[in-house]
Amino acid sequence: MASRGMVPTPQSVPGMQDLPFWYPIAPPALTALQVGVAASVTIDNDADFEWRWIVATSTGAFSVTLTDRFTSRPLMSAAINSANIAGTAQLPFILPKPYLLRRTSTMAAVFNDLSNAGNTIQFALVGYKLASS
Amino acid sequence: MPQKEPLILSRLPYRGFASRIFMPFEQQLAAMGDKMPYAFLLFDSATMVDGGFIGAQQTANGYTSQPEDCWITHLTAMSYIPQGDPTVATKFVFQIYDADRQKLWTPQPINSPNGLGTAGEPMWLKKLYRLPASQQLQCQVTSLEPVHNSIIQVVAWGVRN
Repeated sequence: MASRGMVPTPQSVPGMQDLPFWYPIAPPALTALQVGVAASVTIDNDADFEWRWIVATSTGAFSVTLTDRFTSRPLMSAAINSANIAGTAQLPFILPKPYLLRRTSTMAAVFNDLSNAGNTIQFALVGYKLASS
Repeated sequence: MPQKEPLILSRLPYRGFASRIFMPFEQQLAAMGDKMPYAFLLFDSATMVDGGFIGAQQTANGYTSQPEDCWITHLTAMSYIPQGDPTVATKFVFQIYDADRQKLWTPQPINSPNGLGTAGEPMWLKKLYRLPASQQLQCQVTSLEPVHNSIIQVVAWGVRN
């Protein structure tokens, strides 16, 4: 028998209050074959961030190295080329598993141009601000 | 009554037989435990080849080796010619060798589109592949382009402690 009031409401389902969120990392426009351009993003103080996807737009190919400043651990041993690390909103790159970035922690990125031309990059960490954090 | 398969780390059935776009199940992602995503560079012409390029029909080798056990989830690659269109992948073949098991993944080199994807559409492995500590996973790449300066990078994405 159906029971009134048993349909879960968004408030009662774990995770339903989490906020979809984009943390963009936008380095200054790179010049042709410029290397070592640093940029970073700091997680807001209001919630931990569950990082799930990577998307990027750019005017040319690039490579990037990411380091979690909270643990001081890089996510790769050398720069990863753009087609190997970032997708688009339609086909985002899905992390092998979600990665938790603590509030106020910083993700540092170092960009290199591969296009041999000027390169404007927007690199975004996509995931959820955790309401339970 | 059919027995339900236990949820174990080495099996991620949501990936299906073929490598397709999917939405992972939360329970299975949670089974990976407290690990961090990591990009294992199997081959990178920029850092593993003198000059940073692969010549016409040239073969080169790369490998990854980690100080602790790791697991590989999917494979991607990017290849291009600097003066060409970076969005157009150049042709190459590859072969992967597990030095710990002393096994090749393929009996002969495989065309890159048949074994490697991109970040948006990676080649997901049906089962997590364990890379034992301090063992090498080697990758041999042969360019099929008639130019002297192909740039090729092969990445195995996965998790580590």
